[in-house]
Amino acid sequence: MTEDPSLNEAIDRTAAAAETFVTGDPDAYTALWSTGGDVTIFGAFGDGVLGRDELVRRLAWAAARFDGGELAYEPMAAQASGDLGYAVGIERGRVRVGGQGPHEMALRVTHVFRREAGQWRLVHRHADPITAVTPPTAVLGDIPVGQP
Amino acid sequence: MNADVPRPAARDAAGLDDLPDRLDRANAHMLDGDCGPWKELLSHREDVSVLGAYGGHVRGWQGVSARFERTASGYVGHAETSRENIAAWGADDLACTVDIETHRSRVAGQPEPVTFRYRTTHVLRREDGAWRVVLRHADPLATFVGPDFAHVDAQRATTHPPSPTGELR
Repeated sequence: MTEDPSLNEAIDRTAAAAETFVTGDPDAYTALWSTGGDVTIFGAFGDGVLGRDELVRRLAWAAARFDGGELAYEPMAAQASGDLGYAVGIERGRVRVGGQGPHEMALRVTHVFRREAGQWRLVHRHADPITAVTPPTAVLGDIPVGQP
Repeated sequence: MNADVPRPAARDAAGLDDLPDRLDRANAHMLDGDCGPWKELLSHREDVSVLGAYGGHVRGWQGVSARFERTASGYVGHAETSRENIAAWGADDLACTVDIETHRSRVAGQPEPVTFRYRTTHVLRREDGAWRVVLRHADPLATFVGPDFAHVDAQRATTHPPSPTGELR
């Protein structure tokens, strides 16, 4: 946890909202985001979204892939400076996703926060499921060789 | 400094205008098997964290340093590297940049050069006047893969938990 109590609270709120998210409800997590145009998500299903409208659509779609589970947050590092903050950690739990499960799920997650009108808001999420170390060639599976 | 100044002004004002070049240069050396410039760019403090593109997570300078050494040893040259900036934010002593990195390199054991596309998030902190990377989060999911991928890999992760000391690559 950081020396900034308000950022710690924002990190806790984010973790709680992520757990609500895997029950299929995106609202609590979506509400944590900045309404600015520069918000971005590198989600755990791949690809990226940029901007508020695309972000809201993607969160709604992604939450609908989940139908229950539990998720806990394991913090690794976090800090705030002025109106910018970040938190990195692991979201780990058991979820029903894609019509299957329950499965163990573990995501490496970075969140970036911006303080707007005194309130920390999310501006970026980067999440992926590669919590296990893989050999370099394993990352080539979905990527055509020679792609620019 | 206000964090909601849009890029690239936020980055320039914070003294980070050369950050993309520094990251590209460090990556190019890395792909030639030399992690020296990357290690100069990284914070050497205990909270430095790397969530590398080959998976797992490492926290603390000792483990991070070892991981960069191991990763560099897997590359055998012919480096090309570039980045597409997606977003960036800056504050007095903290900054963040979100990019798609594309690398082309020869990998040990592979006959032909291969192309990697990574989604990356870097967090930088000003330490004694110099900007240092305190977080590199990189993954190869630049294209959509969907929910099946997420839980299949999660199951593998459960079977083979990541080493906190950065074993393997």
